Amino acid sequence: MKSIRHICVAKLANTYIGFDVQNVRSVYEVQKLLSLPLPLSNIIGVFNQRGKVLSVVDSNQFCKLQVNAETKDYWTLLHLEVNGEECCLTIDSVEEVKEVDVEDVREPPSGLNAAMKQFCTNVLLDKNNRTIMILDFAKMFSVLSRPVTNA
Amino acid sequence: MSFDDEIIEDFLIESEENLETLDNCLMAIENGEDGDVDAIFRAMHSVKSAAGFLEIVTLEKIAHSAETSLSFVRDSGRVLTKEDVDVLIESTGVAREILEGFKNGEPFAESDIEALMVRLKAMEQRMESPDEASEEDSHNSESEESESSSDEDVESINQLEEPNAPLSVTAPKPIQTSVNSENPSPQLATPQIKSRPVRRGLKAPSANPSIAEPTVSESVEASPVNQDGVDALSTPRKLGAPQTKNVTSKEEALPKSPSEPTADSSTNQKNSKTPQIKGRPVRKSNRQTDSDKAESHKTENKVNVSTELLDEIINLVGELVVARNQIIRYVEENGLETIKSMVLPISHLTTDIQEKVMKTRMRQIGSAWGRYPRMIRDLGKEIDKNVDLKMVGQETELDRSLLTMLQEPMRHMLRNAVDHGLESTAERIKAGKSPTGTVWLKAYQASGQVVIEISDDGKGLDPAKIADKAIRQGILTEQRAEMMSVEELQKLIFSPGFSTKEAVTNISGRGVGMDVVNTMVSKVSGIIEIDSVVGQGSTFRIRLPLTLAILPALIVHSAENYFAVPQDNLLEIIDLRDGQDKLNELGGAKVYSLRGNLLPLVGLADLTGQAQTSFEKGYILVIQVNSSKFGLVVENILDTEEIVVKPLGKELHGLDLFSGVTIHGNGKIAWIVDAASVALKAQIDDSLISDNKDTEAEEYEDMQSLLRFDVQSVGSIAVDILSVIRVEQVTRKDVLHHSGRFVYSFNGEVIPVFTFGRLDLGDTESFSLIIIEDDGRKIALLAHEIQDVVRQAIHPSPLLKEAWSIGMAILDDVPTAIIAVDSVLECVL
Repeated sequence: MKSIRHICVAKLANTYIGFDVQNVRSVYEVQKLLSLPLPLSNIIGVFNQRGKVLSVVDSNQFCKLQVNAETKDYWTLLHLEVNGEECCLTIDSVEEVKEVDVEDVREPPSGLNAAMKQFCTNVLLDKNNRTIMILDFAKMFSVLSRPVTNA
Repeated sequence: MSFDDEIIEDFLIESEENLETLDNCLMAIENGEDGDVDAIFRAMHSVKSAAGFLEIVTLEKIAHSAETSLSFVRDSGRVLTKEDVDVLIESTGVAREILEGFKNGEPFAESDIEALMVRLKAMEQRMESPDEASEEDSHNSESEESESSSDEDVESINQLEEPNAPLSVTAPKPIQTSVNSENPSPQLATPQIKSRPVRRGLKAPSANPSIAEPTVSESVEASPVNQDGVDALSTPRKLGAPQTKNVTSKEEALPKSPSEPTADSSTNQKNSKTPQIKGRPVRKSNRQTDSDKAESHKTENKVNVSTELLDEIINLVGELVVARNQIIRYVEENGLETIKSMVLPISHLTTDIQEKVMKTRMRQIGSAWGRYPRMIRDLGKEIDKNVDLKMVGQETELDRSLLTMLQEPMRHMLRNAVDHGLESTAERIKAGKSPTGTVWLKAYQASGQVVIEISDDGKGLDPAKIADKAIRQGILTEQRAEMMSVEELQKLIFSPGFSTKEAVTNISGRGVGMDVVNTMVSKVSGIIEIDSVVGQGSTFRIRLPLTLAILPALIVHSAENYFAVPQDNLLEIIDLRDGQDKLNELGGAKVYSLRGNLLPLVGLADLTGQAQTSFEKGYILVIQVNSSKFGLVVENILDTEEIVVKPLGKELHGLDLFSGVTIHGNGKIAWIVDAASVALKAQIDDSLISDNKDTEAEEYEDMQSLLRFDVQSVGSIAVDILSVIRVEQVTRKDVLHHSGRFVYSFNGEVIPVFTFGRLDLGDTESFSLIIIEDDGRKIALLAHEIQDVVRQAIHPSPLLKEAWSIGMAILDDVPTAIIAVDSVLECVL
């Protein structure tokens, strides 16, 4: 019997990343973010989502991926939640929600950068020959919420 | 939260409620008041059932044994002695420990409760075989009933002095009679009306149960009560359903104890033994009074809602308010009168909804006071003091987060009231007071605040004793103590490390308490006031805001961000355009001269690093944190608002200058400024704080009379007037020049003239010489113009210190160098 997981696949700096849909609350397109009054590493701002103030994590920087220099008219944000803690990650786009058999996923390759090595739990090679890195948001959030994160 | 977690949480909450009920009822009995044996039985039974459901064997055993004994009291009219009440109260204490262990994953072993079980079993045996004396008493019960109530009261007081004297718990036989009235026995069919049926019904069950409660109507009223006398309506919530089942068929729920009486056996016992009753009667519990019905009705109308859901609703309503404000603003700005009339009702409804929803955060303050009677009782026993705790205003409502945060300070203050406040019994008698000390716990609303008072009729705070202790502990000097008022001395109990207690006990005396209490109360924006009269007692009055979820705040703008400054911290606002002449710079730091005190300035934009603060325009917000003040400079002030506080997410904890965020009326996010963190970050630390402490006591300590004068090309200078022995008006020819220095002949003595670094005497023909003396040494100070005598507390900044001064201070808005007399003498002599 197959053990199925549903993964929300997003594109970020030419990399496909995936999160368990259990952690995905929503996807937003936001024109303007409010900058923080004090600089914090990885957090580029906040926005008011119907009364809830959500922090926005610069995924490129946080995951040490290639920085996309192009100017954007709006931010595409993936709203994630784990154990009641939530924040948004900047992404380039949301691709799809994939049904994944857990037997099809593989161990992460050894050449990943330190950040991705920390967060990537598995890798999936799909039918379109895309390599999707499945990330653990709980681990990501625990790093984000570590004290002394002033830039 | 998983299903299991929810069950366990409900179990812990309900068990605690039941234990509080038990404590309160048992202590009422102990104090000779009415005791509701059914309430005790119900609570104990609920604890037992729930413990059985969760397989907490130790708790179940204790509750079962206690319940067995109580069943004799309830069903057979046995009497609880003082010893029995002690055992039952001890049981609730152990039950709490078991619950705590269960909560923390540290279960009790059966061996841990052995000693208690022995006492409980002994109580069971006493209940099974009441002593002869009791039996004798029971025969006299009829005659006792005819005694006057005053006699009863006297007896009830007397019996408390005997450890095994029966207390005021009786079997509410009428319950059984009423419940079983479907098949009344022949005995029940013949009610015997007595002269005082109500009291008698409560007080003296006789061999024939029908005697006590004769009326049929009462049987009908009692119908919601099941066979065990358990009111189905008042059974607990989620766990209530299975518990109710257990109650009605308790024999099925647990293996039957040999000592546990059956309905039949209890009936037989009723017929064979007449329980003896002394003292005040038990409340008639089987009869559902109007208040009982109202209570049952209230219970029916309540549901449990998780606090998370309530917070979500509050959050959404907050957003609704913001959306409403945006619409109103748009309508008004664009003059849309037609839409305005449609928007207004929505606006009013939104306000109503917000008010109602905010009420869901409120809890009756009494819900947090349940443990105090037991705590005071145990403490009184421990230190051998008779203490009566009176609680008033339990229905006063307070934000639940405040209530939680106040638990520990309240507990500490109550313990202090008993341990420190009340005298020993012997001392009280000697002082002509009642041997029993009274501690009052009152809550009420006043002027938009919740006030909690903790009072005692003890010895009061003795200012002389406090001063003496504070001097010995190095908290203040004798001179300062002499200048302090009674109120100021009393407030010294909030000083870190202060304690008037001579010996440290496990209850108090280490001096860490009141300081922490004061800090914790301050944290929730509260203040503590003290009213104390020596020999009469003390009152500690805590004033609190109604809620922390909504704060009045000043919305300001700085470096493209909005900020909310809580009004609690805000003392005043100064427009910088009007105060440029009072701006000074000391050692690179900006200060503002505010009525003679130097106010350190902190630019909000500088702090956030987003821009450089301009001190030419904008506003100074005078902020107070504890006893220190500083000025927070902001660009612009927008408005005052009641803000809804939203906590920062964990990922934003690095923003330690802010305690949360809020959504401003225009939909923008405003950061709530944490004044204490700002003070810390801006290094308004102890050394700077000491420069502008504001309490009167500190003012007294630093209060000085200074003679202020001007010296050409130096500026304003002041000298302590106590060191001045004379001021001479002189001309140039009066001052001589000898060996490269100026000298002056004063009363036949040649004394040096100090010119503050000047090489000449200036360009005026006449000037003054201020003769000062220190330790027999005299010197004349050059003064081109005497200004005045200033009396004020000075806090000279050491940053602008000269060889002859202790630093710079602001006297009457003028930066003034304060002379160090000994240094001047060192310079010249």
